[in-house]
Amino acid sequence: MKSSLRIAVAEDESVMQRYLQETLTNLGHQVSMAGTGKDLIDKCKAEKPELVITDIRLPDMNGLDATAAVYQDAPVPIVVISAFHDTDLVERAERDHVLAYLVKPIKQQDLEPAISIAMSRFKEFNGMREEADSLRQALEDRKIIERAKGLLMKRAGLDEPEAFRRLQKLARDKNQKLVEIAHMIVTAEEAYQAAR
Amino acid sequence: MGGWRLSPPPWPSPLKGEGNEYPMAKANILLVDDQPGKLLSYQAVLADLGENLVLAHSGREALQRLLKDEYALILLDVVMPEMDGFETAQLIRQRPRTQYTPIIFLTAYSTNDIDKMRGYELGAVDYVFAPVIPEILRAKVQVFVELYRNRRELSQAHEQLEAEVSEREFVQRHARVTEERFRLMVENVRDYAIIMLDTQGHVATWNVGAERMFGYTADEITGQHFSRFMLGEDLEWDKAEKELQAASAEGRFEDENLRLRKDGSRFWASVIVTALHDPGGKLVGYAKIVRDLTERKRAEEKAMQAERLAAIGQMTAGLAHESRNSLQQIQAAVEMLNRRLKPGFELEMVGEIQKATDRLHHMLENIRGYAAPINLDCDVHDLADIWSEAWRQLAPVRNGREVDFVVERGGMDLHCQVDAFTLEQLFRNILQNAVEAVNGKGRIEVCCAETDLNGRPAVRLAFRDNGPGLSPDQRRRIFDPFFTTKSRGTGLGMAIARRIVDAHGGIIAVGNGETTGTEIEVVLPRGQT
Repeated sequence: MKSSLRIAVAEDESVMQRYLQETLTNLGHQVSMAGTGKDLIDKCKAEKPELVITDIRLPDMNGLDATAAVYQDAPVPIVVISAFHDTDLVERAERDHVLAYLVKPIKQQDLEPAISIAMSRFKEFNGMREEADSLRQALEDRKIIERAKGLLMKRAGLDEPEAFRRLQKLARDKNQKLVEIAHMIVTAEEAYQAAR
Repeated sequence: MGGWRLSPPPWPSPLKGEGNEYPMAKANILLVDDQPGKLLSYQAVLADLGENLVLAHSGREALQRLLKDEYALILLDVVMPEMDGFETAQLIRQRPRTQYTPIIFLTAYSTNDIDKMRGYELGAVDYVFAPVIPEILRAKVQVFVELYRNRRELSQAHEQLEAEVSEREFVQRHARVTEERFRLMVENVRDYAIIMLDTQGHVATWNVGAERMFGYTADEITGQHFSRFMLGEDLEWDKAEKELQAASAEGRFEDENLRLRKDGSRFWASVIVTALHDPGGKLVGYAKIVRDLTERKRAEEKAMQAERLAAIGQMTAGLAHESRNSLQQIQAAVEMLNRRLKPGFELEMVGEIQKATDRLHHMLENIRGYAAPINLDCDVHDLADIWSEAWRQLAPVRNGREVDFVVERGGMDLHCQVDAFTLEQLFRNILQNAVEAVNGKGRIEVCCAETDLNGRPAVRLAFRDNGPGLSPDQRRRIFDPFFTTKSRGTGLGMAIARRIVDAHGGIIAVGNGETTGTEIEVVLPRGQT
């Protein structure tokens, strides 16, 4: 894990601003301090931080509302610092992709592991999301290839292994992916169908 | 209860006027003569009377007839073979049933005075001499039949009267029984003192309830003035007198106040005094009903206390909560100072602030935990797993102490439906106290046993340590919030423990086990309802 992170912090209280600025800097991170929820959203849009730390009680809005907007724009790990830990609030935070929930008063020794946990969870989360995406893609590709194969079997009177071998050969000859060839066949068929 | 009837028996209907409406039964007239011809002639003479004429041909037959039925009159021939009229009359008179039945002697010849006298002595009421003059015989017989009838009426009226009397007696007796039952009820009511006072306020009756409540026996208190149940300060303003005055003026007086028992102790009583008047409206005394409100008062106070505690709980929870922001600022400032200061006095002082802040934080969290409502999320768990985890978590507390943790499970199944999170806290609190109590080589043991709680299967756990044990005061107050024997501690550990056990429907108490140290006994029902 990268040891230096670009962190956006939303905190309105001056002692805490100074404390977080100093502590996070001491830990080797670069801090961008926002005093309000709106400020945080704007800064995140512009700077694309690698981590967001927010107080729940901000002058203009709930910190969870602010981070939800940030997350929607670009997924980012979120750490919340709160004086409250009602079940409702914690549950909502979890739903809203908050990866660490710290209850005040916190110390540097609480902040350090919370950041690393949030980062590694986010990474895990991303990894899982990528995996899910590639699986979804593979499934899509598979569907197209099956359709192209079916068309070849019908039009050229081939059996299944022959149809598949022909697709493979085409991909090799034209130096294209199997799924791209399949796409072309399916599109060509659609053109015929539309003309009729 | 037997012996008296619920309704009077069906008595004969009373006489209503003469003859026609309710014709009287025919009167029996016995005619005794040894000569059938004579009998026939009497029969002919008397037939017009419409009575029932019975014939007997001898004294013996007459006696037999008399045994069977009741007769209004006997006409008896004096001269008869075997047993003459006098002899027959004598026997008739000897029988109780016929003792007073009138007898008219019939005699065919003029009787001398001596015989007449003899006849009268034998109870003859009259003589009829032959030759019989039909009108005279009829008239005489009629008179006697009427006499008989009158007597019958009288006796019936008498019977009826008796019946009425007995009915009245029955009612009176019933009233007496009711009264007796009522008296028994009043006397035996245990929860209310029911006292009768005379017009002056002296105790006239005293029931079991009164005895129980005030401590006096009926013998001790009867005749005493009821002011002795009142507190000295109340008597200074004539409370007793005023109560009676109010009751007689308003008919009823109610009060809720302190009263005095024989032993001098006070109790909270509800008092109702009712003036009693006779049917003429004259005051005859007072009924005083007293109820001991001690229990109710106690329950009320308990409810109020609970309400107050709930309010305090809510407030402290809020306070503990709000304090987090301030604590955070202190923490932030202390940490930043800490980073800048070189070793020396200032750094040392900042260290003290840090420690105090930590303690304050810890305490506030505990208070919040105590004040917060306990929400159970019950599932089936092995209790031993839960306390093992609690024991593991106490490693920092045990640090530097040599303490053995011994579980005497006795092969028992320790699966119970419990909330693992709060139960872990329960065991942690109990075990932490135990660890901190032991000196030198410590030994903490848990003994398990099957038991039942209000008829439901339960598990009894005894946590024992070999520490110094608890003083009587400590035993009494161990579950009170903020009670602590330790110089550091919030005094909430066992209070929270009790709340957790209560929430599970169990019992926690200081045990009297075979240990010199402390024994905490926990009974947990196996399932939650």
